[in-house]
Amino acid sequence: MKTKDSAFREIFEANSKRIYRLCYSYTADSAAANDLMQETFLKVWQNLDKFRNQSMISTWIYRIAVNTCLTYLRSEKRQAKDELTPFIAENEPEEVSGKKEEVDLLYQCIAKLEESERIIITMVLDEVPYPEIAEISGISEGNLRVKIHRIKSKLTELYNHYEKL
Amino acid sequence: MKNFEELSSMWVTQPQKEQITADVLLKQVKKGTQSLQQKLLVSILMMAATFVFMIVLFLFFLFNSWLTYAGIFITMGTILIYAVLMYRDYRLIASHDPTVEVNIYLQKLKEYQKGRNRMNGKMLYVYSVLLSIGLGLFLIEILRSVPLLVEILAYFAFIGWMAFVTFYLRKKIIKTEQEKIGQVINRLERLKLQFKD
Repeated sequence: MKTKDSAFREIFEANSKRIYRLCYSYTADSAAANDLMQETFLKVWQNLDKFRNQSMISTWIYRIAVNTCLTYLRSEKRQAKDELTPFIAENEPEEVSGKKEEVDLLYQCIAKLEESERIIITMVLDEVPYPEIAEISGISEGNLRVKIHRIKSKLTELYNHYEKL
Repeated sequence: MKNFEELSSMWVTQPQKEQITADVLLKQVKKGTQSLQQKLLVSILMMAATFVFMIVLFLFFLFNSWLTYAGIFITMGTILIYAVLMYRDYRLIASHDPTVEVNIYLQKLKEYQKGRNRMNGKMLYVYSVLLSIGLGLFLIEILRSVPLLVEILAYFAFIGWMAFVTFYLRKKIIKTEQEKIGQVINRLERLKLQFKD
């Protein structure tokens, strides 16, 4: 039988990157994203005994992360920045720096979406299956497909708009 | 110009940032859980110590006035009630279950807000009044042996402190607490509407 520690390690290894990305898309700040990711896994640890396999563990963790991010956003000061800040990529090879800038811009565009759109699009980008996204966000699959289509267009438009600037 | 598929592939191939390891996090989460428990334990121990101190006063000191004994009993009762309510509050906070759906989470937050409103309203006034009466009665005999000026000053300081806590500090704490919980509820309400669109 697996101990709680080893189960937690496995869960962390399998989910931490996705959860970090979700948190980063909420905050557009890597330190805050790290804090939120740690807070999420603290709650996972505290509630691990409650998890009864009614849903997939990743669905459950996403739900915790979403609630943690929303609670975090209560403070107006902590909201994602309204203005897109210029990127600093000193001492990095041009190719790496260019890619980093693109990814940073993508995150900042996600941070400009509505909360529900951010939740959904980060899961779409992480290739979470649609039924799982529907379960986490609590909306029907049919409605979800329409929403995803709309969010994809909105994000692409935002990205292309800011890329030109 | 990029299309969504290009953004998607950019997301998948993005450079990974250095992250905390599972072992370091495990240490932190254990420490976090312990510190929460320790905080609660410290508060309960402090209440228990005050309660024991009052029992010692009652059993080992001889007071002349029944008012002093009444003061000790009222203070003990108030401390006991406060400790129970503090534990209930802790349970309420702990029941903010982040593992449930956003809608259920929102419902729980609203229940918590209602509970806190009730607690911070009349209940807190009753608590302050009872504690003031208890300690006030206790002080009558204690201060009888000191010079009149010191006695008057002590009463003023006591009344001033209780008034400061009840009418100023209390309001400030309640305001901050209500603002925080209100902001979370507003955001969750907004999210609920967004999902309904």
